[in-house]
Formats: sequence, C-alpha cells, structure tokens
Amino acid sequence: MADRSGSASSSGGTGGEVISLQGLTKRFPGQRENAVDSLDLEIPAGEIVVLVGPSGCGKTTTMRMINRLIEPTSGKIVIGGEDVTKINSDQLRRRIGYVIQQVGLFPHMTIADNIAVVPRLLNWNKPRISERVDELLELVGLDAGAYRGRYPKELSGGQQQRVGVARALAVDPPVMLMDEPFGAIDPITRDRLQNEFLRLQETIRKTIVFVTHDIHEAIKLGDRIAILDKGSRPAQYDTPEQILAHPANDFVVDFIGPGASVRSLGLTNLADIELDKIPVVELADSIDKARALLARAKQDRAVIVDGDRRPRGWRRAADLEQGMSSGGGPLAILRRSQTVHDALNELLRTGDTIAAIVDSDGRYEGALRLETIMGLTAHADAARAPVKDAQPVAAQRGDAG
Amino acid sequence: MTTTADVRTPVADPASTGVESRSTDRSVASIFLTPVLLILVLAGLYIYVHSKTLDSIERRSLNTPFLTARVLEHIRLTAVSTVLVILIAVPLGILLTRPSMRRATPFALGVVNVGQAVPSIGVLVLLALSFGIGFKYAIIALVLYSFLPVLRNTMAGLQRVERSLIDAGRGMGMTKRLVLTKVELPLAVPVMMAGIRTALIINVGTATLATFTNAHGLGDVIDAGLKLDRRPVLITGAVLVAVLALTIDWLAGLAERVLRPRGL
Repeated sequence: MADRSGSASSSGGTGGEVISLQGLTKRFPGQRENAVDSLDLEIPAGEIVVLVGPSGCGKTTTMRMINRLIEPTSGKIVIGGEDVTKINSDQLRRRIGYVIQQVGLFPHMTIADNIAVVPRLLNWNKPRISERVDELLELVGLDAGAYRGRYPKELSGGQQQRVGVARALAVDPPVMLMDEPFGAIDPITRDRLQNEFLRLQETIRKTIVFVTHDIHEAIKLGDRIAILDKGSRPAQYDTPEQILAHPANDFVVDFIGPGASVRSLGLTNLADIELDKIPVVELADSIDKARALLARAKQDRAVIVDGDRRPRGWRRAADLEQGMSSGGGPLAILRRSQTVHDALNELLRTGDTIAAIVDSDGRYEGALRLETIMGLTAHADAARAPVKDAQPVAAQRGDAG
Repeated sequence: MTTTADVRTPVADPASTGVESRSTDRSVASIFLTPVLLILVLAGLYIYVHSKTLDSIERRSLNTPFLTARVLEHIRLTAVSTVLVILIAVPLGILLTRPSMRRATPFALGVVNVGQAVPSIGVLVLLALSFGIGFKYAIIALVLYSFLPVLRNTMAGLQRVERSLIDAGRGMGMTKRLVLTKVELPLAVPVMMAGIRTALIINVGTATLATFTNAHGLGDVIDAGLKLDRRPVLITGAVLVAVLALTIDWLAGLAERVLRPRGL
C-alpha cells in the first residue's frame, strides 16, 4: 500500500487513490468554534469531489488539511490506505498536486522551470524532466516548443492556469487538490477550461478534491458534491443529479437556489434523450410531396434539409404555398453532444419552439420541441418532492394568474 | 516525442520582442551617457588644474600619488562599510520577516531608525570620542548610518512577495528554506538592490567626513583646501568625490540590471 502511493510512475494515468478523512477537526487558536468539526468524508479513487459551501464554512481549511498546509487539531487523513497525518509534510505534498486560484506560477522562472519544480525536488534527471515538461504542456493544450522558454507574464490568465495544472501533474500524483482554480478567469475562458479539465480527467483519472463557492461549477465538474455547512459539516454528499433532484434539507435547497430544475437540464445530454420526429423534406423535393408528408404525419411543420442532410429551415403547411426556398425564421441547431440546457438557451435566443439536433458532422438527426423540454423539467420537479414552500413558486403562480 | 536535449527555442512573438528591444535601445544609451559625462568632467578638472601655476602647498595635495591614495582610501571605506552592512542587514531583514519573528520587527526597526536619525557627523564624533579614531571606527559609523535602507528594503522586498507564491511553493512540497532561497529572495532582489544602492551612496558621501576622525579618504583633500584656503585643492577634492559617487551609483545601477531576475 505505502509503496504504491509513494511511487510516481511516469506517463499515463496511474489513476487516483481513495482519500479518507476521519473525524478531521481544526480549531484555530483564539476561536471558540471549530473551523472544521469532526468531518468524516470518503473520497473515492479517480473521482472529482467538489467541496462547496458559503464562505467561512471551512471548505478551504478542509482541503488544506489534506496536504497539511494546515495541521489538523485532531482526526486522521488516510490516502491510499496510508495514514499520512503524522508523516513528513513536505514529502507528503510532493505526491499531491496543488492548484490555487491565484495560479502561483513563479514569475522569475520560465514555464519549463515552473513545471519542473517538483520533479527537481524528487531529483529526476534532466532528460526525464525535459521530456515530462513537453509531455505535460501538450497534455494541457500548449505548444511545448513555443511556451517552455517563456515567462509567466507573457501568458494570458487562462494559459497560466493551464500551466498551473500541468505543474500540479508534474510527477503524476494520484491526488490533486484544486482551490477555486478557475475563479479568477473570465467566464468564457472559464467555461472552456472547465470543459478541457473534464476531458483531461477522463484520461488521467486522478482523485481530485475541488473547492469552489460556485454551485454551477460544482454541478458541472463534480462526480460528487459535498455541500458544506458551518464547521465543514456535510449537509449533503451525493452526485449532482441526486442533489438537484432530492435535496436533503432546507440548507441544500437554499444553497442550490431557485432554478435547480433548469440547472439539472445542464446535466442531460441531447444524446441521452428521445428526440421528436417530424417530417423531413429535401430541398430538391416537390411542394406536393412536402405537403403530402406533412398531412400524413399530422404535424404542423417539416424540416428542410439539403443534399448533405444539413437542416436549412422549417416549413409550415402555409409556408409551402410560397415555394420550397422561402419562409421560416432563424433555425436553432444543436449538436447531440450539447445539453438540454443549451437547447433551451438556443430556443430562447431564436424565439422558436423547436430545435434541430444534428450529429457531429452537422447532419440532421431529429428535432426537440419546447414541450418536450418542459416535460423533462416537470419530471424532475415531481421527483423533488420535499421542497419547502419556496417563494419563487408562489411568485410564478401569481404571474400566471 | 521531443528530443531530450534542452532545446531553447527563441520566442516567436514579434509583438513582445519588439517592445523589449525598443526599451533596451533606450537604456543602452543611458548606460553609456553617465561614464561619458564623468570622463568629460574629469578632463575639465585636469585642464583647470594644469592651467594654474601651483604653489608648493597646492603641489603637496595635487599630485597623482597623493590623490590616488586618497581615492583608494575612500573606495576602501565605502566598500568595506557597504559589504559589512549587506552581511549584517540582509540576514537580519530575512530573520525579521520570518513569521516567528514578527513581534520583534517594530522594535528592531525602531532601534535602527535612531541610527539613521542622528546626523552622520554626530555619529562619527560620538564614536570617536567614546572609542577612538581611525579606519575601524569610521567603518562602524558608516555601517550604523547606512544600515536602515538595506534592512528596510530587504524586509519590504520580502514582504512584497505575494503570499500565493509562497503558498504554491509550500503546497508543492518545497521546504521553508527552499521557498526562501528559490522564490522569496530572487523576487525581493530588485527592492533589496535599491536599498543597497542607497547605502552605497550614503557611504560614499559620509566617508568624506571620516577625515575628521583621521580615517583619511577624499575628505582630506577637501579639508586641506578649506583649511589652507587653496581653491584648486578644494575644487579637486569636491569634484573627485562627486565623480566617485556618480561612478559608484552607475556601477550599482548596472548591478541592479544584471541581478534583476528575468521575467519580472
């Protein structure tokens, strides 16, 4: 056990290790309450576990106790079966990746030297370090030739955080701690980095403890989410789907806030739902054939596709009088890899009630109606039985009536 | 994959290199401007002195061996005192910025401030009166007087290092000592160097007063010019001190430039 956790094999994913926090407690001197109060948490190997909670709940303190930047007052930290509560903390940290919001790249060192910090601490030889630096830069999507000799200030915030992640992965640690790593990055870049991070995790399969105060980020990234109340007490520890569908108590309901059903749409891929079927008319087809198709399907409109089966527009029966190539508003087109949330967003943007879903080559696969999306949320809402008399609901009723 | 050899690829970014080269052009010009001016001033002084017929008193001061000896004494006073200040103030500054020593910081700064507040001539005379005269006591006075800028800048330079960098270093498993030597000190170098440069300038100037405690230096020449009422001697002493001070400042500026870590 112990020797497995100590080894940092070179390339590829060694996968992660189980982290087990047992009765973990921290009381800072001069404070009456425990910052972290007897926390028991089992973090499965190879999963992203997001610690989320209001500020001051002790989530960062909890994370910093795992690599013992903060020494626990009592309790145990077990990583990969080894009790690491009392071992040399500097040695321990060299086998735990650490990414922080401020990135913390050393400004006086090149990108290559920044990534090489931990390998050098472990006395790797030069060729091995050099090779690993190139490998890591490519892994996080930066061209090694162009970036290894640069200094951090020459990189954008997003690029710096990629290097931050590469540096944390340098010796292929089984465990990574990430403290709001995307918190200081603009929303568009953040979204892209989050997606890349999820893709990266599919290959490296580390055990990742991720701290954020942003429930959206938690839902998007977490395999599991621990919603923490004061004293780092877990109010609920479950998968995002379960937390959204069955919040354990009022604290969780308040924390995930209104719009949980909308947010749960972001967890459903268009590939996972049954699409609506509507008549497909080719541009080359005659108007009569189109009209006949519509009549037979008893549908109000058909989708027009070109020779490559790319959707070109909608046609209602009435539109067909004016010929095949006219009529129809802007078309909402989504790929199957996108989420239902994206589809809803696109429908709101185009002001339409139906979206065309295409495969990765842009070929038409099916349609998604607004009513179908409504059905999905209604289903989710019904599952969320124990919701208290929340005000947003009352407000909605008032609006409707 | 890539070769194992450490390939240094030139940065292929025209925008950034353009900016860099422009700023170097300007600073290269300023680097050479100072020595040219100083040489012109020295040449002017030489012509001025040689245009005069010197009497025997003046000739006793204004000859090459005498002046060379005074300049060397002056450099020695400056160099020894500055090196001592660096050797004492930098480690003390490091010590006082360690978290465990935070309580001692205001007290230590208070003590050092007193040394700075007393006029330099006062420190010199007080020391001479209580201990004696000569090179050793002049050095002690100079050290006391130029201690504060080095100490304060060492502390300021270290305190200005972002906490997140120290956190990142510690979080990766760097020991406290490694974080100090590999992260904090390199990043504090520009501010520390500014303090050392200030100390050097203070020492060059104050060393002129060492003549009053029999530690010689260029103060001897100025003092002779004043006491014997010989204008060429006085001017030569004053100009030489000024040129020496500006030369040392220029050298310190070069050192700052060289020692400043790249990437900042």
